[in-house]
Amino acid sequence: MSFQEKRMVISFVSTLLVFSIYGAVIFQMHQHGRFDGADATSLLGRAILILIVGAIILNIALTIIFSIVMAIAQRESDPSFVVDERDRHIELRATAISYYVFGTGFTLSMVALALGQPALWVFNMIVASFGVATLVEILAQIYFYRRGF
Amino acid sequence: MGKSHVSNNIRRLRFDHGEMTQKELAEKTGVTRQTIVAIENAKYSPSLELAFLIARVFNTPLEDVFTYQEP
Repeated sequence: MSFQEKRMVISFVSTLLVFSIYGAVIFQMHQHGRFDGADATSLLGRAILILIVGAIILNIALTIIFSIVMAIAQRESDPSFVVDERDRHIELRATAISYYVFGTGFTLSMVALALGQPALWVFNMIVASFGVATLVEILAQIYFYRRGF
Repeated sequence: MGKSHVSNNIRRLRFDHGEMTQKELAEKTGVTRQTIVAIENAKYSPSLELAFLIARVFNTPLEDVFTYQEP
């Protein structure tokens, strides 16, 4: 497994972790009736903002830790931070795939909204679509790195 | 995706140039070693710019490095 593939696995784990924590927190808040008040949408907005910031911070932190571990402890032969044309091609291709996934999720969310589902759950469907799209993007990158591009 | 229709002689050229390593070639062309590995194994077709850079490292015409094979 190349350095890039390992980095992608770390990214996958951190993304999965952040969205799992978000899901658990939102579920707990729902169980305790936190979304029953008039400020439910602003509360959810704050939770989503925390999710975005948390995901970025965790991803950066884990990537830095991983890079240090690879470079020093495991004597990684080529811990290159260089991003070259192949990396960019793979990223672009994976991003295109993730757009389809997110687009599908967003459309399904709008269908749910049209069918009368509560706006709060539709918001969470959009967040879930984003999470799944991000995970698919990472998996696609791992696939392209392994299969060749 | 998969195997490219562009074959190459990079492995032989590296051997002919003092057994240049993939890492050395990667450093001379500004890409990662994994990209050189992918090109050598015909799993990635490089851009024109990178192809010319590789040819320049070996001081040889482009067509001596890369050959297009009919699918």
